[in-house]
Amino acid sequence: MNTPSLYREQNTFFHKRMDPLSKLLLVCCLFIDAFVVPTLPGACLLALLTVGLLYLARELGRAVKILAGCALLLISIFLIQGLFYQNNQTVLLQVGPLSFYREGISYALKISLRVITMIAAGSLLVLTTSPTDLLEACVRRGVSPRLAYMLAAILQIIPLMMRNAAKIQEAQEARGMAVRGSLSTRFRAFLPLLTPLILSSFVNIQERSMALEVRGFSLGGPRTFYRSEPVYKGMLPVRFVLIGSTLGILCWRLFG
Amino acid sequence: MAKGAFRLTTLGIVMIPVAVGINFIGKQLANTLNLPIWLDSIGTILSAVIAGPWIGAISGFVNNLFFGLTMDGGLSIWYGISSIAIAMAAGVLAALGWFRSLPKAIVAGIIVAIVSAIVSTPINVLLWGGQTGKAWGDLLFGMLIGNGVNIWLASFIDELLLDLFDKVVVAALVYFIALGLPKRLTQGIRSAETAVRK
Repeated sequence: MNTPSLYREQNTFFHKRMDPLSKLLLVCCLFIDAFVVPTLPGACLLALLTVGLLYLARELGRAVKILAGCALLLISIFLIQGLFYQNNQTVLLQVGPLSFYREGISYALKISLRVITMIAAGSLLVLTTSPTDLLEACVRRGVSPRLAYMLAAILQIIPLMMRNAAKIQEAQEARGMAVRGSLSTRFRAFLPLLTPLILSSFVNIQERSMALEVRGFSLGGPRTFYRSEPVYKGMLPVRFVLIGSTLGILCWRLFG
Repeated sequence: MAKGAFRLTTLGIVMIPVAVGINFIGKQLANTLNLPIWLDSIGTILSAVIAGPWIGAISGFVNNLFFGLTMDGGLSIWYGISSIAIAMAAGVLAALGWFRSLPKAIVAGIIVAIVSAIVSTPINVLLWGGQTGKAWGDLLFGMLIGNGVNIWLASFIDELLLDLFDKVVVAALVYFIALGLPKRLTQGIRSAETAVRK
């Protein structure tokens, strides 16, 4: 069954030998680094490092696809900040009547490097970690099993709802509903597609909650796990290095 | 959900993934039908309206957490705060009776849009220097800061413009959908709200 997750099984250090929580820590550290790293070359280095990690995880191609989703926004940041940034003084480039300023461009560069670092870091986690593994690891460390259930259930519900949506669309089109045409036609098609889907999902809610209740879902007490905890070796030094380097960058920002 | 804070019934917990699913399908449908707005908060607002602000807020939070963790490399998580605020606003408005008729629902949509814009603006400024990533809003943003308008105000106007259109349509849709749901179903869920006990 296709789930909405982007995880794909591969045999790299990040997929197999790094535990989900260390990866989560890595992402958090990179997020903090992206915000506190002080100079432009530093930010550039950080972005390159993160992209390098993606390359090592053999997921660079798919991460670029995620980044491409923001490409238009990044380009427009360069245009708008380059032209209109408030502290603009030095003209860098003159194109016809438009002048791009050095201050705006370097501000745009700062923002885009930060965004690229964050998306690359997030992608590293998302692309190399199975969501169920991540949730299981979190529940073992004390995250509420209810929250974990909600997140895990979404993984199953979305493909189910997608299939139902396709069925409903075919059924409504067979009854003569127009799904193409002018904007108002398309708007009017929205409700007859969505309402049956929501209705059937709500009937499901009651069945699901009864099924869970029968299995003692709302009982308190510690949970046991279906799988035994996988063992990862050598993760403690990795975590120390991550926290240490983040503290280092923080000090650079504060005292450098 | 720390111990002692509040507990949800199973029905409430089961409803939340469905709300997230509705958000997702709404977004997909808007894409396939080529509509110029997002429509990605139908589930959040619907759950807030029929099950109360708490379940709505959790739906909104879980929604962004989920899509941040599975799809877009963490960007959505930042906007989780906006989702929570949207759900809270919609839930409180619904409790005050602002989703009982279409004109009222539209006014509620406007209020929700304003709340959403207030909460989203700092995130936009922090992440993107103030832009929203939708061409027509950002064009206005560029023109405003080019004319010396403060970044925060320009970003707020940019976001509000997009939110107004989106949230008013969503509020109207939620009104019609909630109207179409059989009482037998909503009654059970409404009791999930009272079950958010202290």
